[in-house]
Amino acid sequence: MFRHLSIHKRLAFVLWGSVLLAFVAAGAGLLLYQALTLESRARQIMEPYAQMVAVGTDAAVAFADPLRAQEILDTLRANPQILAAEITLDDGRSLASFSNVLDARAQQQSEKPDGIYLGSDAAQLLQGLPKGGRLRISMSLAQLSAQTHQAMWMFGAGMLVLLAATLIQMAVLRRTIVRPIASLTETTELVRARADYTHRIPVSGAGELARLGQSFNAMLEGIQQREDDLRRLAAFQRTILANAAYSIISVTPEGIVTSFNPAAERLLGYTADEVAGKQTPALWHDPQEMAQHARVLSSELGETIAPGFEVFAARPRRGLTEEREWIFTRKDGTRVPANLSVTALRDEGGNITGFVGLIYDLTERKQVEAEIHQLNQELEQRVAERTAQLTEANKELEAFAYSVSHDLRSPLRHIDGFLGLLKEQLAATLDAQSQHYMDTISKSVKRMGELIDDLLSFSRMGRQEMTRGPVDLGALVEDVIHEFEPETKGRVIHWHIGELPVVVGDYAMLRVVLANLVSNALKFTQTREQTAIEIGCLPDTSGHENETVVFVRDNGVGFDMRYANKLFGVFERLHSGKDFEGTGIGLANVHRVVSRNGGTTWAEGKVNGGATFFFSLPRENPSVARIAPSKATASQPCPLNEGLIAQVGSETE
Amino acid sequence: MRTILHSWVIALLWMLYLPGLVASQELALANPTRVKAAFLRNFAHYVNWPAAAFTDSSTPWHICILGPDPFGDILETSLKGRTEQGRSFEVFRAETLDQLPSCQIVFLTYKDDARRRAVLDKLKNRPILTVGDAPEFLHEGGTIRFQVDDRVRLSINLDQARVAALTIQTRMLEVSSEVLDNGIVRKMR
Repeated sequence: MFRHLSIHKRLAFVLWGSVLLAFVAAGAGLLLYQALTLESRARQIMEPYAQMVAVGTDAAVAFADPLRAQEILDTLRANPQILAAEITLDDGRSLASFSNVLDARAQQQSEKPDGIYLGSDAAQLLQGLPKGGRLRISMSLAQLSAQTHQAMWMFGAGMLVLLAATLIQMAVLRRTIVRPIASLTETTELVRARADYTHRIPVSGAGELARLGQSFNAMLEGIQQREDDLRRLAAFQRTILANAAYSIISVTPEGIVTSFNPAAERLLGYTADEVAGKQTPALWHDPQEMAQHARVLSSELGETIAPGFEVFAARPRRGLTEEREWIFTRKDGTRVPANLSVTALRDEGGNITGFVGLIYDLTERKQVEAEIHQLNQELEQRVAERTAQLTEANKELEAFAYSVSHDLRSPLRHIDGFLGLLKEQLAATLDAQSQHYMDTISKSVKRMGELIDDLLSFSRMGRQEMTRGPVDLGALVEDVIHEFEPETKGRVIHWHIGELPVVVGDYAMLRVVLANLVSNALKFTQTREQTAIEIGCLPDTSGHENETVVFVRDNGVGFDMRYANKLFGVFERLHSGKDFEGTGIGLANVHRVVSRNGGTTWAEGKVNGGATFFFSLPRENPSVARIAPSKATASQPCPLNEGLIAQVGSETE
Repeated sequence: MRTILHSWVIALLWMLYLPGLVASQELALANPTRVKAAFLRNFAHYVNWPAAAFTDSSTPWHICILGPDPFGDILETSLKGRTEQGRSFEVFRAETLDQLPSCQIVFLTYKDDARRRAVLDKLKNRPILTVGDAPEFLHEGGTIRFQVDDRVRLSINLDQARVAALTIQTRMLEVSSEVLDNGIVRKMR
């Protein structure tokens, strides 16, 4: 009960209680003291008289002289406190006595032993006398109790002063403690009831209560600050939620919707009031899709995921990302593809307090994707058509070129044949001039034949079906060089053949490539006294990673790098046919073959500084891998540091 | 305040019961023989004997009755178990003085004046307290006389006491009714 009292009442209770207690304890103590000391105080008064009477009446008692005894007893009358006195002889006779009051008890008490007997308003002293007989003195306690009463009055006055002091203390306490606390309490209740943090407590002084008030004010200020911050943040958050293009839905850890922003309302057709606190996201999800995803998640996470809200929460719960496309069912039943990503909300302790789902409509993106897909398909179809047309045209052209070349050969053979016959018949008759004409015609015919042969060969290179397989370039180079031995008889030629890898390609075609390059090298070094030809491969060069680069270098006439791009065209020649014979088809053939094998060709050189021709072949060819899955499905890389055996310039013989 | 009130009440009571004071002064009459026996004993206290009166320090008091015995056992009863100055009491009774040992107190009960005078004369110069009832006892040379009216009173012959080398204490004189001093009888009351 004490607990429900106000501070003021409690303080009053305690103070008045202690005052009352002090009053009662002191009063009781005083009374007790008075009562306990009453006998000794009475004795202090009566005993000297008794002693005096005993001595004085000694002889009177001994010789039973009432007069003398009475004389002595009468001296006691001088003290008004003595009410009565009597001397009784051993045989019970009263020797002498006087009495101020009638004391009925005197006779009864005469039988009692010596001592002091306290009555309500009188004390009686009984004492035996030395010569026999007894003395009884009876005294009034009025004066002693008057002393007690005086003490009580003093005590009462003291208590009144104490009460007055208590009243003043109460007033002081009320002013310095109770009122500030009451105002603090009132303000606290006001703040709590209205959540209005603008109130302040009036603070004065520097005591604990003032400090408490100041601290409370400071706390209120802090709370107000935070409240403002929170309000701003909440407004910011509301603005974001209201205006975001994404649907944002937050749910409890169990899945009950807690917020549903306008974008979500637009996307799903439900209003926030319809779902908040009532529904789970299962409302707008296809149960079949959820069940399917639950199975996927179960196998993925290795534990059973129930096909319900857990489908969305299982991964975020485990700290994994959850983002995928779903088909949402709107309120009107229409279905919308949308992307949903779910994030877990966690408190400071890492416990999940809910989930937030971010949804964006994929309808437009799906449409755009479909359009792009359609356009791509159309484009691809068009390209395929064009390619088919071009291939057709190319084939026709090549067939045309082949048939033309082929058809040109037979009239040319006729011209050559009949020119031979004509020369035999007219050999004797022809003058020198005519003989020269005849030879020129014959040479031109032969050259034309070579041109036609090369054209046919070039044409074949384009049309021929490729048969890929492992090709040992080293062996191939040796073979080619061997083939050129008749032509190089009498020339001083230093061959530097590096170690060459095994590559994947068409053997016959690669042979054409190497034959053309070696032929070229020999041709353009005819003017050199000593010919140096180097064949090798380069380790990985920039721009040709995963490719095997093979080069053929000579110390021939070289070329101007300005025309390097023209080298590999058909009929392109940097040197006149007078200086070096040739049809201008060889390098074009090289380019075509290397291209068909997936590689590139290029050349370096300078006028009278020799030339180097490079070609590259891809090291791996996936399309081939499917055809011949063996160890030879990929070209080997170039053996390191084996490509260059010696510098051309340093060669001396 | 209350003190004053109390005082008033006490004063009132005082006035109401004042007559009672006089009544209490009357002493009820007792057996005079018993009183006399007690007196004989008390004399041992209030009278001083010279040391020569006793044979040695442990000799008891000798209280002697000369003549017809009025006490019976009353005297023995009165003295029984009592001591005075470290001495107990012994009572001797005889018809003639010769039959008595040396006594400190002699109670003379002879009715015959001549016999009484003869004994008193014999004891005159000895440290013996002579006690008697006879009206002329003091003039006959006795030391203390019992006078019985409403109560037992004492008359003392200080001259005889001096002759017998006995000292009678003043306290005893205070309670006596007549004192014979230097041949003059003085009434004490």
